[in-house]
Amino acid sequence: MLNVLITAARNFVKNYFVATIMIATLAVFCLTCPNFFSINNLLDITKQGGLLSLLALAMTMVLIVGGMDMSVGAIYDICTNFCAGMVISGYGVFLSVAVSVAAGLGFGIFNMVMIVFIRVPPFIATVGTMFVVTGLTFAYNKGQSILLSNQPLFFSLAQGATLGIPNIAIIVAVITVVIYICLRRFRYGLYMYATGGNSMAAKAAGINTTLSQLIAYGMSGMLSGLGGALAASYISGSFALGSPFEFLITAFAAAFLGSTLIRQGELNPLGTVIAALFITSLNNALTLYGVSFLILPGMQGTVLILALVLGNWGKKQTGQMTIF
Amino acid sequence: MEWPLKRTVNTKNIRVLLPSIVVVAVLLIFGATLSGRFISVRNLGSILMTASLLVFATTAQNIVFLSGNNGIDLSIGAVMSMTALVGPMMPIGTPVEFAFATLTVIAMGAVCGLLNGLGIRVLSIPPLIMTLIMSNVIYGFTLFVTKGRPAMELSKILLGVNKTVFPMIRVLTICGVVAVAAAEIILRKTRAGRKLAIVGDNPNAAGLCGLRVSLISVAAYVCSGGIAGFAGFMLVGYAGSAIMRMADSYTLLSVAAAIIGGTSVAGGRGSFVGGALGSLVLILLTSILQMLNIPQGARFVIQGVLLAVILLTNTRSEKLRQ
Amino acid sequence: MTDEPVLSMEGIVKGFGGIVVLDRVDFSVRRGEVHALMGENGAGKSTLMKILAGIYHKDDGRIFVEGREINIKSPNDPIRAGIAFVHQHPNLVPMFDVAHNIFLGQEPLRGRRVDHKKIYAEAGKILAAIGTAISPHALARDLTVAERQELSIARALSFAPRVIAFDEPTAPLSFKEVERLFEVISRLTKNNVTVIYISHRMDEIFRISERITVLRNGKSITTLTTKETTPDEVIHAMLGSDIAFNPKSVYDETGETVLKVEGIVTKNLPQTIDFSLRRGEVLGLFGLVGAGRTEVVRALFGVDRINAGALEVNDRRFGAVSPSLMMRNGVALVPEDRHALGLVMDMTIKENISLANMNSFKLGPFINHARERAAVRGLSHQLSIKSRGINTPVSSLSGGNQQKVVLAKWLHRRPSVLILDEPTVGVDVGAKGEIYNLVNSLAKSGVSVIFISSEPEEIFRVADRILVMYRRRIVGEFQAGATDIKKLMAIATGVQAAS
Repeated sequence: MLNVLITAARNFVKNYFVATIMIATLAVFCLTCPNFFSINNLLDITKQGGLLSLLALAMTMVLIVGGMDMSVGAIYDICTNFCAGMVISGYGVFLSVAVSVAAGLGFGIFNMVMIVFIRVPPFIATVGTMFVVTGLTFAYNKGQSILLSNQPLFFSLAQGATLGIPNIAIIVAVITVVIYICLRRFRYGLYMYATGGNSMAAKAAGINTTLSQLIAYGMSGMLSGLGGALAASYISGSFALGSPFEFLITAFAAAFLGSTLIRQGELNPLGTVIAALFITSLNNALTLYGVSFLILPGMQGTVLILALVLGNWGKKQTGQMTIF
Repeated sequence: MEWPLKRTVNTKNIRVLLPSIVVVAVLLIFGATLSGRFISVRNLGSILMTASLLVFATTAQNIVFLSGNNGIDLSIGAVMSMTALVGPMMPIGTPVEFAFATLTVIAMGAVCGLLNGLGIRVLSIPPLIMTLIMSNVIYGFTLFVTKGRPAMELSKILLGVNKTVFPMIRVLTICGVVAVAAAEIILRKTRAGRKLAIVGDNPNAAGLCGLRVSLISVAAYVCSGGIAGFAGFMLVGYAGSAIMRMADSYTLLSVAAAIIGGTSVAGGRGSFVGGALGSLVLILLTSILQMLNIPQGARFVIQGVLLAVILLTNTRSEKLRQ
Repeated sequence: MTDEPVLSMEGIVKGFGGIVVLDRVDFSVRRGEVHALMGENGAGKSTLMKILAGIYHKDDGRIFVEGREINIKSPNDPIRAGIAFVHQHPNLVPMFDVAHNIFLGQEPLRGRRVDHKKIYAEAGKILAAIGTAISPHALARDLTVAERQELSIARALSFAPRVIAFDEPTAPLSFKEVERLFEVISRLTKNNVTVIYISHRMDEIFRISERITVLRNGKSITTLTTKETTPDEVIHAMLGSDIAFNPKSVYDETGETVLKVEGIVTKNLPQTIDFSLRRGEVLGLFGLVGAGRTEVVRALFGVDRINAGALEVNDRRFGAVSPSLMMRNGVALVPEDRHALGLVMDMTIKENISLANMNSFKLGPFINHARERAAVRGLSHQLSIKSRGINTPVSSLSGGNQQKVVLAKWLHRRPSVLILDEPTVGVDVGAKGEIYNLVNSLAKSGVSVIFISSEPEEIFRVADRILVMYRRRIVGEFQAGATDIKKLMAIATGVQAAS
């Protein structure tokens, strides 16, 4: 009986090496850091990780079709501002969020048009969008952060909970499951992977690679937009101007780390979210340890490198990176 | 077999620079019509100085673009911010100390470049991601070393980059010109430069001709880091103080300037003079927008749109050529 | 097996830029037979197949499937008509598993959902029909070359085709894998699927085919029934009787050995390669597609790692080599693919010639431009490179002149051994002659040349001694004057061992 368990454990470790390390790390945190395992802390992690997950999911969609979206952070920023601005102007929660998502979709379409129809390399196109969006953010908030107060309904969106579960967690969970099902179960999901895996083979098989890319960039924009709206709710307002690169690394890290969690090393939404939560836990634990927040950015970079190396050891390339 | 004598300078090389030259001229004229002050000696001198800083960053970026393999260096801004903050932490009272400090900041940048290069060649991490990661790590390091405090008290030597040597020409401008000239000469006239272009254009052929492709690629990133390190030091001298992430915008602007100047993102083709012209275009643009008293927000938008348009047309025409 | 053709191509005409590549070619195959398509390089086989596959458009002629005429405009059309292809380099999605690659683009649905269970089930059935051991769950990227081919076959079968065309399928396969392929083919024909088999390998063709169609110079020469013909007759059809060539006069064998290859084994050359080369000798390396010639070159120049054996160059022995090491020892390589490996297309003639020679033009860290110019002009003159000047980009040169630039690059180093891999591909007749003359004069001046080619006439013109390769082994060696083209072809197609 013990033998069976040991063999099962060994197999698990072999196949899910990275997951094992993650579990072990979390265990270490729980054991050595008293505050980590508290309910409040865990809820915090869930909420912050949820926001990050949306960005990471956006990046994942685009990476799946073999593209790249440098503008997710910028879209996230501007939608935070849009949403906060609309709420202050009294447009109501639903409309504000809807407009944010629509704005995200709009920027996603802008990316799509450049990449798919004008055939600009994804990196350049999305960097261009990043510039434009950053500029628009500035134009919109004139360099001031927007402060919200006395918006209980709006705040409850990201800061509240239903039946004890944080709302953000519910929203992200639902979205993740929906995306997961669509990718696995429907033809168009499969075709997105095919487009990223070998677009020539996909085209030769009659697959509409253009449609796959349209879906990916559109979804990326929408998810970033939704993330921005929820962020506005979470931090009760918006920041003046973030750095364009700030979220990109974390989004990449979560996407690639998530891809190492399943046997085949494919990018997948579930893995991405789990990785995003793990990275958030990492940041959180390190802060609790009293490690100065100064180190945190470097940590994420290291995590990404490790994810890339471990997850792709032995394989020839890092997934489907067609940057230029 | 007779054929006419051809000069070393290809007409093709100049043709690539023409658009930038034209745009610079147009912007200058446009600025002049808006206000006489635009082409005043003081204003132009200031523009040239600002452009020189960008020129350093662009030169660094150009080297990496030339080395091929989808090369790009997104850590330039981070390195610049690092040396801008950390440089003044060293004693730079005397010229000797100043020289030593200069060498140190270059070395710091070079080490960052070395890490980039190793990650890219040894671990096979795409340059985009590797340098992006490095930028993050460098920020963390900078934060750790400076504990977030800005650099304030600067030695006079460092501030001397602002000194006017000739009308319109300050010390910093001279440094910029020297850097571009040196880089261009190295590229066209030395073996090392030629090897870089070959490796960037066709690494397979380069390998079959006995060139050490990996070594040259890593060296490109080391050079880029070193130049960025130096640029950061110049930056703090120019600005008089330094804060975290002050050089952020230089990263993407250097990409844009290099592309405007005709450098191919695929590798092997490009010029540093072109990069300098591209930098000039960008700074002139900013300057004109400032002069038009356009509110900062709208300015950003216009800059963003124009930049996007320029990048798109440049890379599109290149893809069409392929 | 009825006599009525399941596929018939009649009077196919195709030209490129004024050159006629296919001249009223007729080609028809019967249901359930294995029909071989043979011909020398450039005879038109692959063009004919590309027209059938919808990659090229024919200029004239008609195509019938089971008596009904079809119009092929795009790659989808032949599939719909029941014609499938197994290419040399199949297009797969590496991260998908075998089953999903088989059904890519035509996934069975349950309502609107992809029916994964059915995909695995059906894939399993097809794989079993082929008789392969590959699991439907295996990932495409983990498959070996032979397994990828089987996946390709499985995908072709998923369209329930009447005809499957194989293009040089056994080139990358090992002996056992070839046997497996033949089993698969025999299963196919038992199920009344017609197989078109394009290959150079005579022994295989005589084993599995029922009929052989031979093309030569874009014309269909004849269709023979395998049982009633001989390899000789086939070769005769491939070459034609009007062979005019000038065999090289006999070479004086008393030179010392400059290069010795002893027992070399690489990952692409599983069986040992041994040969030697004398000073001033032109050694021809002859073989058809998949024979292993380029693999030998890659081993010689250090591109592929040597796993066993050693190289001796000018009396220095090496167990491991690299391009720069070989260059330092006086070996030069003009690769087959000059665009990808020989030239930097954006650079000028002068820069390309300097590519391998920068150390001889140095002035400290700088390039000694004067010396560079002088040397390049000299070489240009010597090789009669026709251009507008040494500063013209090589992309604007003709194929022949481009090749001369590559040659010039290496000649500057005064190598003692010059390896030329298919140097006259894409080169016009005039430049070809110049290259032959150059080889001759180099040999006379003491340079040893390894000349790799798949054109029999060419190799007889330049080589003193010829090694024939087949299936990654050297299977024959003889003097140029001591044999004839027919025998050469016979050995190169595996018909007979050399005497």
